[in-house]
Amino acid sequence: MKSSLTLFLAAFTPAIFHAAPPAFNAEGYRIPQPGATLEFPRAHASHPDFRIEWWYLTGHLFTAGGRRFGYQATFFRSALKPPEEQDASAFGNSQLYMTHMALTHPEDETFLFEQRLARDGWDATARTDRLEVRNGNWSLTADPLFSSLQLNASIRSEAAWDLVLIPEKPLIRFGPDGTSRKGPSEEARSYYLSFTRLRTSGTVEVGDRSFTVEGASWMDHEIASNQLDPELVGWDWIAIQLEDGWEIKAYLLRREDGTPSEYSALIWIDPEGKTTYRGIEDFQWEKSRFWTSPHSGGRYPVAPIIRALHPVDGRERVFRFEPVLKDQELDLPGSTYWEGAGDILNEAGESIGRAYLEMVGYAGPIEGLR
Amino acid sequence: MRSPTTISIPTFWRLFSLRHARTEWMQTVLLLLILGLGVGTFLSIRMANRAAVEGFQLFTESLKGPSDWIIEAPTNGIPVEALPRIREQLGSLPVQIFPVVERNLTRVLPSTGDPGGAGSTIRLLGVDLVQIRSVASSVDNGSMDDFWSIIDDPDHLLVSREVADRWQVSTGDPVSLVLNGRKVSFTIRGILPEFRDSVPLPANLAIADLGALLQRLDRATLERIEVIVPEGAGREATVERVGSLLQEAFGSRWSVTSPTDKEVDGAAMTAAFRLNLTVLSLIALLVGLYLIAQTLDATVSRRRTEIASLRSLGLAPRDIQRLWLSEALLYGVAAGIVGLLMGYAMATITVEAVTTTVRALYRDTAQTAATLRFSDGLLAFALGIGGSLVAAWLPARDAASTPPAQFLRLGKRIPPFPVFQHPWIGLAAIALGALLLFLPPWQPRPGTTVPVMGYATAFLWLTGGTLATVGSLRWLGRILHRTAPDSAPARLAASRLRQPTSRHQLALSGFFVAIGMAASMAFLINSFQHTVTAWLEQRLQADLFLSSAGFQGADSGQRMPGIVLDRIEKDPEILELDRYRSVEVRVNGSRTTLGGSRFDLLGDRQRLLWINGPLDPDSRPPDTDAIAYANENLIRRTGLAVGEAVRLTTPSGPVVLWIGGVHADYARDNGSLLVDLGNLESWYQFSEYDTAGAFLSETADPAIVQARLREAHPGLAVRQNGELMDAALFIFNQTFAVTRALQLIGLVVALAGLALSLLSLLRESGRELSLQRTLGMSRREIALTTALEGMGIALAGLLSGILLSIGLGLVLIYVINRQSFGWTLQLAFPWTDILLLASGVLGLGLLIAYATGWLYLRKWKAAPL
Amino acid sequence: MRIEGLRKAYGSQTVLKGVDFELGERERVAIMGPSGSGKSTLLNCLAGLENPDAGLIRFMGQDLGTLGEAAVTALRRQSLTSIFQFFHLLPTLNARENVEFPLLLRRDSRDERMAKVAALLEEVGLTQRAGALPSELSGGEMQRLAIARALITEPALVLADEPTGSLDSRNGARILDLLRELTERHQTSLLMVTHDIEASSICTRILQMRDGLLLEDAPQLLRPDPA
Repeated sequence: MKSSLTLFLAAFTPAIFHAAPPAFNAEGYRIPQPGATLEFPRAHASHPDFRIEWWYLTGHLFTAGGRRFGYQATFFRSALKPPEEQDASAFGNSQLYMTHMALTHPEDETFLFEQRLARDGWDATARTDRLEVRNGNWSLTADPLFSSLQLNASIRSEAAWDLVLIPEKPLIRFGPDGTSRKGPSEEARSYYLSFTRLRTSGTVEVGDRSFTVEGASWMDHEIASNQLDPELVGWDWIAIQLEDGWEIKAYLLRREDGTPSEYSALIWIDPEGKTTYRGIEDFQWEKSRFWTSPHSGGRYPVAPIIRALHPVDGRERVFRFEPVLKDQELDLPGSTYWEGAGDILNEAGESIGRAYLEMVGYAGPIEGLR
Repeated sequence: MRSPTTISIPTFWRLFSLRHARTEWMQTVLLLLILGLGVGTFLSIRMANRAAVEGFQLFTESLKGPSDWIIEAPTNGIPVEALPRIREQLGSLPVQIFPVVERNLTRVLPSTGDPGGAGSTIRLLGVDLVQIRSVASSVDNGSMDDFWSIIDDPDHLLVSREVADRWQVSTGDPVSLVLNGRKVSFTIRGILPEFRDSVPLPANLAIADLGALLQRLDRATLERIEVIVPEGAGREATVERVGSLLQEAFGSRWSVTSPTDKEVDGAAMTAAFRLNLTVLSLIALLVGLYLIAQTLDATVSRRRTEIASLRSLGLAPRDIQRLWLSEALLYGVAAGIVGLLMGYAMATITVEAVTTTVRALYRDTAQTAATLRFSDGLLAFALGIGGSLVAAWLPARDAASTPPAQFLRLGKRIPPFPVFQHPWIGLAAIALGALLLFLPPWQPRPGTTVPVMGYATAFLWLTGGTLATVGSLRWLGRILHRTAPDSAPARLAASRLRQPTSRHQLALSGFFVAIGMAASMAFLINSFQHTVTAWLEQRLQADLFLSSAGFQGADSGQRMPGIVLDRIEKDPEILELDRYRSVEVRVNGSRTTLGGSRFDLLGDRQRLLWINGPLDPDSRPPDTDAIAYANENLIRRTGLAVGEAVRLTTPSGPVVLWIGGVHADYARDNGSLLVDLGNLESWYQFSEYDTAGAFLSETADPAIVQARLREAHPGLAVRQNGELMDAALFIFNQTFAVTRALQLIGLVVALAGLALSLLSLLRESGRELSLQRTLGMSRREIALTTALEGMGIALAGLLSGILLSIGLGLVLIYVINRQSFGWTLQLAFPWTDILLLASGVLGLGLLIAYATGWLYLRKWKAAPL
Repeated sequence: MRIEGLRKAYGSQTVLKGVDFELGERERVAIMGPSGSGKSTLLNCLAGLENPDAGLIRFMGQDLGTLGEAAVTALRRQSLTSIFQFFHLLPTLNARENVEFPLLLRRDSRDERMAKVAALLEEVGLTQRAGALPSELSGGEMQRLAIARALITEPALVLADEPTGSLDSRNGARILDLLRELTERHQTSLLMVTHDIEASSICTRILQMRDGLLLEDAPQLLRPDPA
């Protein structure tokens, strides 16, 4: 999760153009360049000349009988040395791969998760020519044309899920200039690529039970070399998939004094993939209902209410997040956070979509996530 | 009708047992120590045996927990490229794959630059530190930055606290070590914690990151790959599935085993050895039981007035017996506690000794600590209580039949135990034992036989011998009495032996068993040493012997590269260089060693000590691939015979070996087959060798060549003929470390028992002592009488014990040893040792007996008669 | 033997309160008195088994109190022997060996020993029983054996503690006869502690002991006719 933060930070800032940033930072890593052309599908693969990179999948899965699962699959790559010092080896020390897997199973009231750390080498890799990241038996691969993706995931010997994901909406590259700004520094930007709706099908195995599932996933891929703003103590982030074909991504970056950072944002994505940005003053994130974790002691606002103006009619919409399970906390040494599946209810309390909510920095410092 | 008067057991304990225990606290302490020693010896051997078997678990296990599957290659290791193929084979199954390089690491002493002795060799594990850190963060809990800087340092090494202390190094220090026959410098970058979670790490351990280590070794092969299936409901099915997938894909090239197999193998390999130790420790317990019986018996006699009073109060003999057994129960519980404590304390020492032996005999094992289990506690109490009750049985009966006090005052002697009055029962038991020897041994699994009949015979001879010996004590007393010189102490002492009391009988029993045990072990060890020396003299023909400095057996992963030997072979003063290499194979299902050495040197320069054969190599059947010479252990384990063919699987396919002879090879007790080196090389495709022997030209000075080779190849151990012989005999002696310790315990217990029994005799003959004083005997004469009495017991025990030792020794050598190890030994009765033992025991016995008498009499005050 | 002012106390209880008397050569003296009068204590002091608190015991010109242990031991071997109520034979030695034992301690030659033992066994009438162990002998036989053992070294004084106490009257009488006969023949003094009037009949003098004090020469009427 080292970098997932960047993600949020990265988010998007209203573009104020200054001079173009340098091509490399002081350590020798590349800096994302405004207006740069990204070559697809190669750009979905790994970029070891950037310091950090992650592929982040969340999704909602259903069996024909209505049984529901939520899943998270996050592959982080973090360079341990700048590009010119990197070398390949079966037991490399150029890249560190941290991977998190989580499975929410509301029917069983279980939330399973596992973290793996591995060095680059024979058992953990990320290809640079096409999307293929792997950490042990966990992998995310795409066919060469990127028409579909394959995710193989498991949690110890308790659960496993193998999914095929097909993008249903075009790729979104955030940022007006093709880079997502995360802070005032010129270097603080990232390439931020998302598939906000992937048709998902496959199997989920829990214990000795096997389920055929279908559903929708959301995938982010961020490439950057910068650090997180030290002022931030955490964030709340949500990816909403509405039944009407729209998606909303929103994040609230929290500063030490409790106020949201000006880089907090909400983005509307219409059924064609067109984006509309709302700044911190244009949406509200109301924290209602708290859940205290018996594992970490963290106190999480698990049912936030988000209000924002719709891009089409300009009228306010209310989205209430209702988690399928309160305990969806990944209690990990140094990087504890809450990441979970839930329903989106409208003002009338009717379900109008689903979402994944992430809450970071509620259970101690987030050093492990920086 | 019930006895009109009864006394409850707690009341009896409170009023009598505990008071006596307190007033005679020295006696109580001694009794508890003896009980504790007996129980403790047994327990400590049990714990040590368990630790030895647990030592067979892999060193890596302590770092990351037990593996589910282990992939190993028979000779050259597994290439690193195989790792992704294994992952691919296992698909998306949730499996962790741990590649491991395991080596020996020898310290180069900073002062001399020479590799240190065998003790300075430790185990080096090359593991993926990132992987280990993620499964066991406590192995290194420094910051992530420090961690990466360690991994980035190509010279890094992490060592255990004990190794750091032994080498006197701390973090940041450079060390010069021998790795793979080469001198390599490392930097100590950290000290390993003593525990991973709650699992203790081996003390003799160093670890390095696999990436850096492979570079330093300049190789890309692994010793083994361990596979772990994580916890969860689906685990068992996955483990099974993984096993069959691995077996299917790699089973033909590599061995895929589970650690349970390894421990089972280790347990099977050492089963006979451990059983031997257990039986020996039981003998120590048996000696202890005699002493317990003796002590309890003595307390019965000293408390006869108490018993008489109880009887006069109306208690029936049965009640007395019950009360007395209840007191034994009390002692048993105390003995269980003391035995548990002593056993635990002794185990820490014994573990070391047994581990040393197992290492010398079998393979390097992870150092494990003695652990006390709940079952040990139960066993300690069972042994303590059971032993006390058994030992108390006769004294309790004795107590129950206590005659009236008046009878005692009339100077009648206490009657001896009736069981000892029938030496013919003992003789019958001895005869039965001899008959049992004709029955076959027990075979729990193929390749392992347990000499159950041999042990039964030994037991019958021990017990029968005890009965016979004790029964014939009065005859010895009669002879001594008749031949005693004209001295009052001698005549009086002899006359007492002529009419032995139960105290004499029990002391003699303990003495007999202890001497018999110690002397028969000496017999076995002596025969062994004799045989091994003869074998070594035959085998060690070369002038110089070469091995990698850290080489400690075939599994140490420390071999000499062939190119180094090629270079050495060119030395003008070296006429011939014989190379030896061993690999592990399975013959008819049992794990054994296949070795290769140059057969062209056989007969001319190299010699084998033939037990059977050799057959003419030309008569080898054409459908066999090569001639092989087996050791007798293999023959016994597999049931093969000379002239038969045996089929082996090698990386180059199956080969058929023709057994052309059986030779003596005491180096491995899991069997060995020897083939020509050329054959082995072509089947297994290796380029490293275990050992080599150099034959020098007539004019060459071995010392000079040795020095030259040492200088040129600092990673090699170069030994001259005599030095190797010494080293081999040193290892040999190590293998008997535990046996000797048990011998010593037996003797200590026997001598302590002698002192104890004499003390009892003195204490209970207060009236007789007063009489002796009245008759005009000086204290010195009375002490001398006691000493001579003790000497008589010692002499009887010694004579019969030596007789027993010859019988037991023969059973050990011809039955137990042959059936459990499969070695034929040349008989060599250790006359000098036995003579030394005998004179030592007699001398010590006399000294102890005299001292006992003297010390007792110094405090003793004559009582009015 | 001469005794002057012998005192002995056990804790606060004084048992001997100053005993004086003299024992001449070949004299047979009986000390009589009720239980607890101190007669056994007196005998133990004389035998050297107990040390008196005060007083003097002179025996054959030597002061027992000033003698070292070795000298007392030598005295016991040679000149001062004992006979007990419960015989106290060495249980592992047979009759002959029991009698022989004091001579062995004295390191007499074998021939000398054999002759003396045979003669004395004859005198006590146990020649036939020479090979028997004490446990195989009757009470009377045991006491006769004890007398033989006491006299084998030709001692100057034999101390006898209730020698007839464990015997029936017939055997008791026999023992007393034997004692008188042998002490006369071997010219040995005898100091006997007893409360058996019969036993005192063989003595030349009877002393009464009361409360730790010795009353010299008891009234004649208590002395039965020696005839």
